[in-house]
Amino acid sequence: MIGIENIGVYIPKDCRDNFSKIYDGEPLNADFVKERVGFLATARKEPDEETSDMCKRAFLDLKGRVENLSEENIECICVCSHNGDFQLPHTSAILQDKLALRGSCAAFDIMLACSGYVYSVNILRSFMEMNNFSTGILFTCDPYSKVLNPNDKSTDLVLGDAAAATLLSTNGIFSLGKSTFCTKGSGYSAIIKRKDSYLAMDNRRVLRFVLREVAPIIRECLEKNHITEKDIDLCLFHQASKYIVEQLGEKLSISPEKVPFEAQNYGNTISSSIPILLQKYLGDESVKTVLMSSFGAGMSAAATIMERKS
Amino acid sequence: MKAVTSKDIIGLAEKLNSDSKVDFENFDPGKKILEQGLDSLDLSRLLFEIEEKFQITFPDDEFSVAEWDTINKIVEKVNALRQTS
Repeated sequence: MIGIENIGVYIPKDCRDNFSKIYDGEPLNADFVKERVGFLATARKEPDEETSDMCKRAFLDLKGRVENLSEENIECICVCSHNGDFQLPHTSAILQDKLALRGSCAAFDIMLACSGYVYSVNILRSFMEMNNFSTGILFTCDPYSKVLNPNDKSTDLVLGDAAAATLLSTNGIFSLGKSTFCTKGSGYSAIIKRKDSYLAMDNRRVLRFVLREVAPIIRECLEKNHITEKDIDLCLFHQASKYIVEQLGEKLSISPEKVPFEAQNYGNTISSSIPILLQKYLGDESVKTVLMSSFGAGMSAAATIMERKS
Repeated sequence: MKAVTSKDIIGLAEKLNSDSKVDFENFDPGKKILEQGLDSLDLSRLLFEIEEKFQITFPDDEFSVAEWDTINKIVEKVNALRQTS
């Protein structure tokens, strides 16, 4: 059975201090930024650095963590992003070339934003099992700095650039359980990038979606996997903001120490936020049952359970 | 249907922020909410709880935190929405 074996991460070195930013001529309330939004800095890619370059750097980090990971053995790759190298072709094709993967390697993109990780893990795992593949990599990389307005604090203060490379294989240390999903297309304009304009985000509506729609699908996910909140060792919620992560944990009555917020120094990295966090816990044997929930533009959400293999 | 009052809304805000230092006993319904110790995230959470409690939805195209900046203005809107829903 296919599971998550390891994760490579790339966070650009340019992490911009949020406290020194000024919007509309006014300094920010430092306590509000630190204690509520939670991001002390946001990562920014180099201007000429492409999405596929960032994925490649995450891959190199993964290669350093996994012995015997050979480009020759990779049977499929998937890139989850709304901000690929080009509108056409798909970024995974460019990445296949940059990584010098074999010609028979399947490569496809998935266009999902912050809900993308749980969805993409599901899709790639099913794709691999259907085709009897044993080694595939899910790349998550959505550098929103390409489309955000640096004068808009609701996005500039929050979103960070990063990439993650999740190795899915028959040697996975975590097996994946059943997932639940939610789509509320009626709320699509809460997070939107219209043609010829910057990304716009209505944080009040995002919070409403999280509390009203995401919390129930997480409860449903627990039921579907025949477990309760008490069985969970770790909850990996999309790191939308410190406030949203805390509020979701509280809404579900999950103990705060099981709900980490650890994106302080680089920001909300869209579909990479969960794998970046998960990487830190891969070697922690006390973490056996993990709940993951990703949510965002669409509005869209997904939740799943992972169990550490014995 | 009993009209929602500023006391109802202030009570809800107090329940949501029970661990804060905000002086809810002297919370002025006519004064700007953000000038009385709550921040924009508290206000977003309060609006969500109002929607849940009174079974209404603030229309996205009408809503503006900048305009609905006092408890009195929120109460007025909540009562108007309850009458039409």
